[in-house]
Amino acid sequence: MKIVKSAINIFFFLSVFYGCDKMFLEPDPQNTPEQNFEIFWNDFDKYYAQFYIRHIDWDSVYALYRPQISSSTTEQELFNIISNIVRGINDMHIDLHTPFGDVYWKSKAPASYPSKRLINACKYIQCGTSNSSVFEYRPCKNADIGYIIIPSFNGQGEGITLIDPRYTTIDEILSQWKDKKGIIIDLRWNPGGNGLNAETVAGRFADMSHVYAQYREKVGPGKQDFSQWKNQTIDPKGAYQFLKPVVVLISRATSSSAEIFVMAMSTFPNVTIVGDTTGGGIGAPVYRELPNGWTYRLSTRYYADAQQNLIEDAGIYPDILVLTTIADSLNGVDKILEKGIEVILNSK
Amino acid sequence: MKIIGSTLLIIIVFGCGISFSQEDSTKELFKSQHLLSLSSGICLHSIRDEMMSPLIYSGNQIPIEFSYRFRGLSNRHTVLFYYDNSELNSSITNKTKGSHFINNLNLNFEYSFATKITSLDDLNTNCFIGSRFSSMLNLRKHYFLQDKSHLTAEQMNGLGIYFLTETTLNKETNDFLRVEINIPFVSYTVLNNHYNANVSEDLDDLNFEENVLWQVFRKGNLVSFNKLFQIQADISYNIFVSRYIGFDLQYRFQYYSFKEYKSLLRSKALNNQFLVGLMVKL
Repeated sequence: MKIVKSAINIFFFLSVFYGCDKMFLEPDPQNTPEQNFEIFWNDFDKYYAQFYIRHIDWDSVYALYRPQISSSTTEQELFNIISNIVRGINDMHIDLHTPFGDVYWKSKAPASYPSKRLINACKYIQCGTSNSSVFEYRPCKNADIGYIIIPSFNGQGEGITLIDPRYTTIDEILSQWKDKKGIIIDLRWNPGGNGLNAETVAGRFADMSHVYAQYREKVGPGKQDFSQWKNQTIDPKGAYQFLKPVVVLISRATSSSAEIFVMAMSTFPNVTIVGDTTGGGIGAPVYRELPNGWTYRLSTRYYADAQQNLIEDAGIYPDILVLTTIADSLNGVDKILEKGIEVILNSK
Repeated sequence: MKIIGSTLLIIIVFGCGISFSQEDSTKELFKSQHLLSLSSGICLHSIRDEMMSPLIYSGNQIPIEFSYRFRGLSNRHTVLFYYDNSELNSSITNKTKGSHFINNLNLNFEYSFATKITSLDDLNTNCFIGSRFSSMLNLRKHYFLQDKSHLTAEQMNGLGIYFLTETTLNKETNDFLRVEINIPFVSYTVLNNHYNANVSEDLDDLNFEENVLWQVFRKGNLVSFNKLFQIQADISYNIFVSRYIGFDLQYRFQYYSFKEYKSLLRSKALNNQFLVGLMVKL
């Protein structure tokens, strides 16, 4: 009888504690059009770092769109409003994911860019396949030059390891190509990924430690709550560094972490950057979500190169500007790659 | 100043305990016990990490807990290790798209010491007071879209005021009911002052090619109730079915609220655990 009494007491006690959930964690915000808009606007107001750079008056955005939203606003109408705002900012690191579709920035890549990676691969590069899971690499035809495409810098390691170990396989490629006259690294279609992977590869070409970029980040909810400029440094990595001539090919589609790579590489004396200006967006984005299930990203930093030239929106200018025309593409001519080969062949 | 205050509190807590224990230790005829238990059951997690999302994420999992308890004449020592790895979902989790969920690793280590302060003979209850060192890691990987995720964590190592009562329910078999409450008053916490997943001084200057955990751990801060409120309450019912074997039916309530950025962003975690353990008396 005593045990039964004790058991009843215990269960009473447990239910009191277990019922306390709501006391300790407030309920989720309401899923209403007004609330979703308010959270979206406030998240950007608190976290987004590039209003000033992009000449956007965020309070005016609120004044313009908030009156258009009421409890009777449909999800489709809310989507139209928020996607207009996202498109208006036109930051490559702002996107919106909803059941009505995904909204991205409008790329600055000109229509003359070929849609496939190499215009006429076998014209310049030895045919065949030599691919690792993150690199496509083959020697150039008629020249003692190695050619590597890095399609992206996506991926991270297992668990809490942030660097994807697959990118360290660059060591094997470089040890094969130690005796080459130079190497061309093609980033023209690289949309970015994980900046640590970009540094992992770039460090294999570093002669010494260099400050290659600077950034300021939003560190508080106030409009002027920014950190001081912080330096980003690249150091030699791996057992061996390739210090012979290197050309990095870039285009308007080269973005985000690929721009981290370009900035790092451009600080090395043996590296020449060839092609068109990069996309112009690094941003260090974070994901946020709304009570209705929509997800969006926003940039929390803005970047400049080591000389404090802003990269966001502006992009990185090449050392040698070479543009691709529609006629080149149709004729199978890759002038950017041709210039890269020429730079290495002419180097001493 | 805070550190001096905390140190004084520890001395008072332990000092009181020792003075009481000296009075009482000879009064009671009680055989010391060493109890080992391995427990499992179900844990129910709820987390709101405002730095990442305005929504509550919750879920359940089968945890594992291992404990060693020493029940002396007037002292109690406990060493406990707890593990669970849960998938937490929100009201908007979309499993088909693999988005909006958290993989939550929860590790807990505790050492508690308590000494008897009084006996309530009418209730067959002994009351203890002491201190607990607890180390907790709550590591979360937030998945937003299929291959997009952010890693966040709280790691706190606290020294708390620890209250324990033990009520003997059956003197012949030694069945007893144990109630424990621990409130850390000073903690060494890492990953402080995050403003968002990317922004925190703790993340500056990390060398990701070296052991990141150790680098982050070294950047911790001592905090108290101004930044972290944590409470843990346990109720367990210990039944012996033979002289050496018993069962430990346990309910644990664990809650913390951690201020990430000033007063604006908090991460709050609630963990209810219902555990059944096999207990061996050595």
